[in-house]
Amino acid sequence: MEIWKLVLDAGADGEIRRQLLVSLVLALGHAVLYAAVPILTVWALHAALVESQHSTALWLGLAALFVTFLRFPVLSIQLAKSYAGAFQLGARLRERLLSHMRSLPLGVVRAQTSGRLVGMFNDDIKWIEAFVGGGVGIVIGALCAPFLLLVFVFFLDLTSGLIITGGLLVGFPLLHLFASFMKRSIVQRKVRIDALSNRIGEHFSGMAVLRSFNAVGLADRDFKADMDSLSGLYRRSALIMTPFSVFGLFVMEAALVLCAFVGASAVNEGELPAEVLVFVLFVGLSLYNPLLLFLGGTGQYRLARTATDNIRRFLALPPMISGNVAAPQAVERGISFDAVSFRYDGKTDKALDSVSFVAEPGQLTAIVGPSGAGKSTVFNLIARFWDPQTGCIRIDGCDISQMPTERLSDLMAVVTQETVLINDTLRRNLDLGLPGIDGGRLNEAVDQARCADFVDRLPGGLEAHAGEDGVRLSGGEKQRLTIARALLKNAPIILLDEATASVDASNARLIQEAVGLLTRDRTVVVIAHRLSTIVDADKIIVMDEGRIVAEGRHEQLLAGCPLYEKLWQDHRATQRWTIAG
Amino acid sequence: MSEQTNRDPSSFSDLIAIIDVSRWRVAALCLVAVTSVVLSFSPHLYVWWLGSALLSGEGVPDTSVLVWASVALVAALGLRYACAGISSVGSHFLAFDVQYDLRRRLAQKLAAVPLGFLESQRRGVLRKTAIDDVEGLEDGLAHLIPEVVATALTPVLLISAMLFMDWRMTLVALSPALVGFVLLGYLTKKGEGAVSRYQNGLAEIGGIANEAVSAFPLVKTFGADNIILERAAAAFRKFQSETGEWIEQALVPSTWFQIITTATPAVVLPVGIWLYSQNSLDLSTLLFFLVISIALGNVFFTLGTLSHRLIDQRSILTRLHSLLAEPPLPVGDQPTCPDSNSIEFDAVSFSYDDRQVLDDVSFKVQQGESVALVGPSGSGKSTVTRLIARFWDTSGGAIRIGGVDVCEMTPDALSERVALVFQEVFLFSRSIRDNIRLGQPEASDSDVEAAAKSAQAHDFIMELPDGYDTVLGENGGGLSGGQRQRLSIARAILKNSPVLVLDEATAYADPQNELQVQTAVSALSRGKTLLVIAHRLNTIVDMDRIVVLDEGRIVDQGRHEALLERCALYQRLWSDYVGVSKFTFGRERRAAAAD
Repeated sequence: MEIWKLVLDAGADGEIRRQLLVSLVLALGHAVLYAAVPILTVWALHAALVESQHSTALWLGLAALFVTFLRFPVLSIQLAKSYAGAFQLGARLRERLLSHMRSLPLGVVRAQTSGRLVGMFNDDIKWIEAFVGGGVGIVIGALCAPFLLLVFVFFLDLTSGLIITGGLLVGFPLLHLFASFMKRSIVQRKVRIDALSNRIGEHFSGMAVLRSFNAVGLADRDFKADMDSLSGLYRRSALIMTPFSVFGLFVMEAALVLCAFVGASAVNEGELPAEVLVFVLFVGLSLYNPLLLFLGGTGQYRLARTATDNIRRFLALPPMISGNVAAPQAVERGISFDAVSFRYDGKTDKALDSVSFVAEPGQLTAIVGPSGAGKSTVFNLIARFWDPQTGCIRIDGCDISQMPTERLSDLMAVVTQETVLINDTLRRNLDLGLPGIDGGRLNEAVDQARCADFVDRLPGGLEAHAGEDGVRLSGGEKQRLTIARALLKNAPIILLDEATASVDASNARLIQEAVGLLTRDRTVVVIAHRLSTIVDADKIIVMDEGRIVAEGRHEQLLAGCPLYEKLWQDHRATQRWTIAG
Repeated sequence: MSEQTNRDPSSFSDLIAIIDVSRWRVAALCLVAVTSVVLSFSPHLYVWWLGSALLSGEGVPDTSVLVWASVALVAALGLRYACAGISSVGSHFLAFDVQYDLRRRLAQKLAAVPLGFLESQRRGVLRKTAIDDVEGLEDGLAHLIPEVVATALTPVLLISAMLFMDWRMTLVALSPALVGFVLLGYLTKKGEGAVSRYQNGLAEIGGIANEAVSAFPLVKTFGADNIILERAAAAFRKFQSETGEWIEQALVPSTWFQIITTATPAVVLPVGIWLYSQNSLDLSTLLFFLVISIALGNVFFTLGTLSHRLIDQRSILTRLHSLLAEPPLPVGDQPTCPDSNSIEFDAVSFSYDDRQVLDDVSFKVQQGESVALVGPSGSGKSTVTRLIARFWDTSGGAIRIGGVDVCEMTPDALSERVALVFQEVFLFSRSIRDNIRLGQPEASDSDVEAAAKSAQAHDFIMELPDGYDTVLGENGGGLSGGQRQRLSIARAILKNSPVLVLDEATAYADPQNELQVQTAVSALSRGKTLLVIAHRLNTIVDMDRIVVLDEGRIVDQGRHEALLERCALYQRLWSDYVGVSKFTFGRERRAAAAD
């Protein structure tokens, strides 16, 4: 049901729904054809043995053959319809997920693990496609064909029908219990396997340390404990589960023996024609094969159900609401924070507590503070990766949550340590397919961002494919590309997180040159990690534990802000330190 | 299994040999599985027996016979399912034992191979082998053994019985399966292209989704919708349109195979009736074939799908085999004692992937001396430290600690002598105390605390909820880079080895922590033989000696002042460093404003 709701949710249009409905009807038809063969067999035997009408019997036999041939087109069309519908649904869902992701705040998207996000596009939708395409048909066939046969048994002999039904009623719940044990055991198993996998990962990454401390045995003990736990679970679940499945199947088949015994007595008493008992037993035997497929089908259902829940949960995340207020073209009055407070989901402490400041237009504002002071949060709120719970952030007096998101993004370029390259040419990575960027401007940006030296070295230059063999870019080179991208964007506001990259001095120098060009003449907010880089900043904001402690120029803060003075002294000391000294 | 096993396994027996399990156990399980299969036909035979009796006019068997037959059948069914249960549990247990043993051996193998083998790009694959592949063996051992036995045996038993009854009907009954298998071969070949295109398509949208997610910030911050989102959406649509071919050429034909192989009853019926009407087939035989065709059920279909799973198992075994055959790092067994705490590189060369990383590198760090390695990125600095730790062995020349070749030292002796601190810190998801105590398992709690104090770690440890007993998340999750680095330094302080190798030990520290990390490093390196790699050249100006590396060769060595005078490369590195440390944002802007 949930899955059908998702089918509707996904905006499945009439065509998809029609395909799926047609395939449902065909699946029913196929089940009827499947069930027809044992019934025709019994009918033919009746004609041949009881009524001695051999030609009728032969025709009925040929009918069974014909019915079987009829299964080809019916099943082919059914599957073609259901899978075509399933894949269309999958494509629709993937697009739906993309556009929903587009509407979410970046912070919300980042709060999801990337594995989970990618898994939604791949595995989750794959399971839904598999169930809608194949699983539904299997479940319908596995239920309907035995049901029809059971009805036929009832038609032949009421008592036998009741006995077989009784067997099913006892046996099937046992099998179901087995399946639900299985489900639980798979969940527990996943937890333990993940633990083991992490342990192995730890083993790999810690191997150098373990060996240099000669402590491999220690990690081996942990590893063994994890394996013992996994192995214990396996053993327990095999021992607990197997009796259910075995006993369930036994009961269902034993019902047939009871049926034969009771039936034979009835024949003895003259209450039941002998041939009817044979027919009952024959149909009874045919009933179990398709029924067993049902368990496989429900397995697929469970996977699809979990996938559906994942996707629905993601689609339920509230999108970012934006207004339609015209955003400023240039920044003339700066960025202002007005009593902004923010708390991350699930955290008790506020990351920002009533923060107010102004980043003046055309000036460089630096944010400093110990770790956990809230520097990055300020940054993330300006870029609207999150929305604050209270307070307001304005650019030129205009509330950023009221601007259309594209306009807000046009206003600023964000440069962080995180370098994202897409799987395309360097040119594409720089212009990002945006209109209005000609070759001249591109080359200028490449030059300004100090990328020219390594771009020229690559085979094909700007046409070289990032991520292909031979186009291995170092961390510093990737950072310079990111700066070139920001230069091309030519936005009036630059948000710069100048974290400590572990790049060597030559690279660092080039990056600094490029950053110097990027920040010239623009409104810049920088998170500074090395205080020496911001001694000339127009304004320095000192933060601690989510609050602004002081603001001013370097010299003023040195004189008036104890925290800044301590940060500065620490910084000076680190600059003077030598290893051997 | 010997280490000399051929690395390119071609025979199945080689592969099977990595599964270390008693042949008797497997034989016993097969026997139980066979019993279960044989008994599974008892209801069919019973229906045949009763049906023949009832329909041939012999009438109902005596009640006593009927009772006994029913009891026997119930007993047979009971035994059949008991055997099925035992075979299932037994083969699962067998599988778990094998998995356990294999994982154990893999872990031991990984503890013995050269560390370079575990470098990061291979880790994902290794992890997949140790987890997914070993997990995948369950199908082979727990399911395939009983299933192969059952599906292989069922046709053999049934066909023999059928041939015994009537050869013509046997041919008729088997004809659908024969047609099916011929068709399967043909259709598989025909559908191959479509299947691989479908799988490529799946992999491709996987990659696209991955990119859409990882490049998503570009969408938000640069509005790169068309290049990222639209490209992904186009790929999804393209995949969907390509699935039509897969449905038509692979999926639908595979259902034909299923229909044909399960069509036996529909073929047996008309032919049987016809032969019966010609008086060429007796009633009992007709009934036998009708009942048996139910028993054949989907055994041929299962047989057809078995091959895929066997192929999977084979590739799993191949991967495990090649990993287990990886030669271990040779270790010395002579407890030769180094006579001092010096490090000596004697004409060391090292190649990796056909690339010469170090070329005839010779230098010596005397006991108590401090030496730094500098050079542009890619000059081979880090390789020097990794060779000391024996991540790899040299391709030429020798590395000696106190005059003894590291290859001849026992792992214990080497680890006792040398401590390494890398920029990448590794912490285990255990308590902080355990993590520090790794340096010296016998250390008392107060020793651990003393080490933590010297490493400037005590204060932040005491602020954690459980102090020294705080259990860390995966790789020290929750701690900052500088805090993690200080824990790793505490560990080295506790170990107190006379030779210390520092590779960028302060690089990953967040600036707020840098001062404390530096203090910790100072405490650690006091009085040690010291070999250091540093990006920030100001930290090494007072070293006894600085070795300048470029493209795997030593360009020059000497003290800071001397190198600054005579070594062009060092001059360049120094001026870059000075330039970086003098950079300020404002100055550029001021200059621009003043223009």
